[in-house]
Amino acid sequence: MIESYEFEDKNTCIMIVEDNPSHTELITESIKEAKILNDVICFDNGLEAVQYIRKEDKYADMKNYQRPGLLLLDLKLPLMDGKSVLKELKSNENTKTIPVVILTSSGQDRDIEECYKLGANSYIVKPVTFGDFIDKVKSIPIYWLLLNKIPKR
Amino acid sequence: MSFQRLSTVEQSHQDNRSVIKPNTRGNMTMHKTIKILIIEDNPADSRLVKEFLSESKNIRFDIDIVDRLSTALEQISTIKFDIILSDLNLPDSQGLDTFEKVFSKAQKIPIIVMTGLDDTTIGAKAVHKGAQDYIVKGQVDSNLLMRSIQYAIERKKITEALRESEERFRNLFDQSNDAIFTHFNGEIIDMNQRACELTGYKKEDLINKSMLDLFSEDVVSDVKEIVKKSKQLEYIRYDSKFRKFDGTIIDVELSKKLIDKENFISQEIVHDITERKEAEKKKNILLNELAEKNKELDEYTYIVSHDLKAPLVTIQGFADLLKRKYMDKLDKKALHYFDNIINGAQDMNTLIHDLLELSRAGRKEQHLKNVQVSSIIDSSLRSIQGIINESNAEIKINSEISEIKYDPTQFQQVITNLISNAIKYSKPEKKPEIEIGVKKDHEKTLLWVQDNGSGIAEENCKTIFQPFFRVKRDKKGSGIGLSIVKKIVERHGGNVWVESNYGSGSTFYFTIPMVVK
Repeated sequence: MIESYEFEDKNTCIMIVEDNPSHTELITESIKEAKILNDVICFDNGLEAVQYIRKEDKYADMKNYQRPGLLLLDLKLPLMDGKSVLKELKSNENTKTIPVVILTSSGQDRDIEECYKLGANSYIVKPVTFGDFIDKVKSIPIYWLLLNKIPKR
Repeated sequence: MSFQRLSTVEQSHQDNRSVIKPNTRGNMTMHKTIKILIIEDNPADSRLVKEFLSESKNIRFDIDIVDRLSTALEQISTIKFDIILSDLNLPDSQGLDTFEKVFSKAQKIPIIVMTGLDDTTIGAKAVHKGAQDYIVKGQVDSNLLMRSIQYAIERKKITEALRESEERFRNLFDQSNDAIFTHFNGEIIDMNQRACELTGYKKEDLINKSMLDLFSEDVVSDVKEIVKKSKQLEYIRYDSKFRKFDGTIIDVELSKKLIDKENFISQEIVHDITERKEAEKKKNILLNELAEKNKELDEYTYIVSHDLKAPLVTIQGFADLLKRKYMDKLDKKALHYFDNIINGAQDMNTLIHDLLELSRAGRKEQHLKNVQVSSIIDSSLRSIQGIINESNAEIKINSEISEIKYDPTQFQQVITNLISNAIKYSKPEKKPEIEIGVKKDHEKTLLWVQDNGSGIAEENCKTIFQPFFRVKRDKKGSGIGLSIVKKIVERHGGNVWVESNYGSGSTFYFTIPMVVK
């Protein structure tokens, strides 16, 4: 049986910002397949995601708050698009160390370039061939949780 | 000079061969008859002249003598004389007035004035007014008279030619479609009719006006600067703006030529380029619109690529999950249906991909480079190694040309599309044999991809390059591959066509124009 993985800090979550509920479900399933024990928190718009990370607005006095240790971010999002979210997080001292993986269906050169310039840690195009999705997406948290070291808070 | 010429005349006269070489301009040859009108009221004088003329052995004279101005004028209007010899004091006309009247009727005929010993100054005055020469009665002999006549005729011919050329020039000047100004240090001293039309000023208003006053106020300081800088230049050309008399501003192109350096006299040709400027403006607006539209199209492509792919991700992703989790619960039939769903999604994926490629091929900037034909073909083959191996195809390369000018990525795409197309339409029972060829063909490079596949029916040979056309519905692919080929080839200035024997194979040709160096 494959063992399961967890962030060193138990109080850390994986955060998905994705407006397409089917895709959210697929990504969540993929993470489950990877046997990740940390919680997965999902947002369907960029604005709330930023508010959550910054503990603002309705998240200001949240109990059991979990800081994201990995952010899977789509680009096309309502209220605040993915690039703006990225820009917000990467330009702020408190949030710039959170690894951000762009997970989108656009493979356009200009998007890739722009996102890296804004500080994205990784850029992944959603797989559109059968049999690829779960395998590919589940490798994302495995890499970021198991192989990659992130700075401690 | 004239003395030398005279001696030539005499020499040739003496050795009796040819005549008056330097002055032979057609009508002064030996046997030419010169028609002469003598206006002289004194019979003794006219007789003497007649005698002098008859002494000439080279030239024959056809002489008319009249003793009145009135009869002279009548004669002139009816007979075409080569020369006129005229006394000035006649019973019906006196002095310079006689010359002027004769001259006014015979402007193109050389006139020699005959004067008495006591009034030689009047002869000089007549010459000043247009007579070719004057002779003083009593001081003239045959030789002198002959010489005077010959020179008068020649000189008149030259001055006539000069006058005609000046007239032609003046006509050109006046009829020019461009305004022409002559100015002295910026002050207008002459202009043509078009200059008045262009500026809207009357001729008398333009004379003595400063050129600077014709420019639009906002450019005057620029023009001053140009004039200052170019003062010593023989020729300059610049664009500027004129303000017409009625206030309209027009765009003009000016060419200024310094025609007299010492006196700062210049000729300035002004060409109205308002229409050209307008056209340029319109062109720029259209270009901007086009750029805008292209940008919109880019946006559209972007959205399409993003939005159309999202449902595909869902279909494929859940199919993936379904198979992982419920595989053991599906029977054979269910698995077949399942495969159909996956294939459908796969086709749609190719379709979206190719559609985007097609749209990109039409808009993408071309990066023309010298490319090695063989290395690009190699890359193409490598990129489709999978289907080549699968089909067991044999590929031959027959290239007479090593280098072409093309966008490397697009060239590779053309080759890849044509080869995969050849494999796709190969005969199932036959091993695909494909030949890729490159050779020089007149002013072009000709490339071809030949296969031994199923061939294309004649009626399909044209439609095959249209998007979404597919010969067989059961073949995988979007039917866009050849449209992309066509678009790329045509954007590089070439043509693409297919020659095919239905049932035994096709050859796809495309051309690359030679780059003019």
